[in-house]
Amino acid sequence: MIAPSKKGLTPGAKQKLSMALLALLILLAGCRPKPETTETALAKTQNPELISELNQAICHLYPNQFKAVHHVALTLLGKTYVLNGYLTVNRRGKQLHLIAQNDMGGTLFEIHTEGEKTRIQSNTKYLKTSWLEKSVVRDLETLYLPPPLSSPKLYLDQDNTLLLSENQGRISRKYLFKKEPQQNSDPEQNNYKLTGYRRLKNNKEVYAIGYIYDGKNTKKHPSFIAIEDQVLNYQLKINSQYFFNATRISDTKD
Amino acid sequence: MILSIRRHLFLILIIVLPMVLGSMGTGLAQNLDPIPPDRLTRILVDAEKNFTAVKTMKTLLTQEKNISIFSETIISRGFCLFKRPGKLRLEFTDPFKSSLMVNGNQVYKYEYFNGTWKKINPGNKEILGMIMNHITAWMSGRFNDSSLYEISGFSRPGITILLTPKSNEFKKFIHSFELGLNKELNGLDYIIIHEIGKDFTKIRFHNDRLNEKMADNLFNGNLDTPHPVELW
Repeated sequence: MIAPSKKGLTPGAKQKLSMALLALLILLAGCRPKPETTETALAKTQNPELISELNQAICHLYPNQFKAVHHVALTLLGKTYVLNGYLTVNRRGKQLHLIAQNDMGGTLFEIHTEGEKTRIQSNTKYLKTSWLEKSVVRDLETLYLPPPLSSPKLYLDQDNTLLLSENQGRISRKYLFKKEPQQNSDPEQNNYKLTGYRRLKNNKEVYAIGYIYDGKNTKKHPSFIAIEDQVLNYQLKINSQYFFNATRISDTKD
Repeated sequence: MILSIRRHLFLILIIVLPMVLGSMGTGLAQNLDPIPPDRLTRILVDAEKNFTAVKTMKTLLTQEKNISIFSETIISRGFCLFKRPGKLRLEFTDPFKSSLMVNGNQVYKYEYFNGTWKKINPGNKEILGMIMNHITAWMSGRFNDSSLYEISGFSRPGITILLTPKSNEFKKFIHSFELGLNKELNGLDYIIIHEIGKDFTKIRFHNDRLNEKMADNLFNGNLDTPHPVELW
């Protein structure tokens, strides 16, 4: 019989344990979420004009009134539900009206918000109004009626990503902007495009939005939006078609 | 004289406008000539016989969505492939790409996001399967499922079959389906889905090709992306 070491393990067992721990650490490191782009890794930028301009850009990504069709894949508990959303927005009046249909037809739920008032009608017992209020209403308000940050700070990344950030207690809101190539652009306008939004709680990301612009539908407005809510545990992939002034945005207008 | 013309014009507008408005929106079929039950039965038998002769069918489709909160009609385009028995592919190509396939008892769904097709695990597989089975039945000329629908027929002047769901659960979503048969009574010209309220969706089928060779692979839902189809 092999005598145990002072700590109760043979040298061979110790070595195996060390290897196992090392492997576990490597695995855990691999599984760890991608480190969040934090202010500490970035250079703070003192540019009040740019801060103001970007803060305004958050609120004015869309015109005051418009309509949109959303083709949405909602992934919840490993299953994906495809919906079509028909949306009207009046940002000045803080009004949103959404009719969400199954992609094969049939209205699943309807949401109407005006300021603080929200009316939700769900035709299916699987989508409760309380869940819709916490998820869909909040998503729509974050996308289309975001309030400006009250005292934002601006940070610059090495790859020209700007981070407009604000901490309020345990909650941080961060907007990411990416510099666009300056082709035929108006020198008076900044060339930064909103590419993402992050909400953090206690420095942990709880909610994220990514914006993609393809230039086919519109260059100014995202044609694809991805949302991930890590608290309610759902993901949304949204293809968007916009209607401004009763006309679909054409490839050439923007 | 001018006053008289104006008065006539006004009268014409008063008479014509409600007629035009009355023929728009939902309830189209209700305003048309009903087909008596015995004639409808004969039409349904003939249609099923004619539809049965169609072994494969491919058609382009244009979907016109009329939704109360939009003044615009929202147009989507795509195609439909059908191969007897039990193979159906319904695919939208514009403005959003999406593909739904039935192959025997299996339902497959693909969505195109951010430049990539993705096969998805649909949460409402049973409902999708049920809907696709209905479409497959219609493509086969089987309209008369009296356990599910009240059936009636109208001349507009073509033959229109109106299916009204019986189930209260179904009625929460769909008021009725209107199926427009083609002149040859061997295919559909259009489907109108009347939803609750004034919303309705019209799907027009055009550029039909019947009984052409159709590869089984077009309905293969085990691929990572839908097998490509060249539009005709």
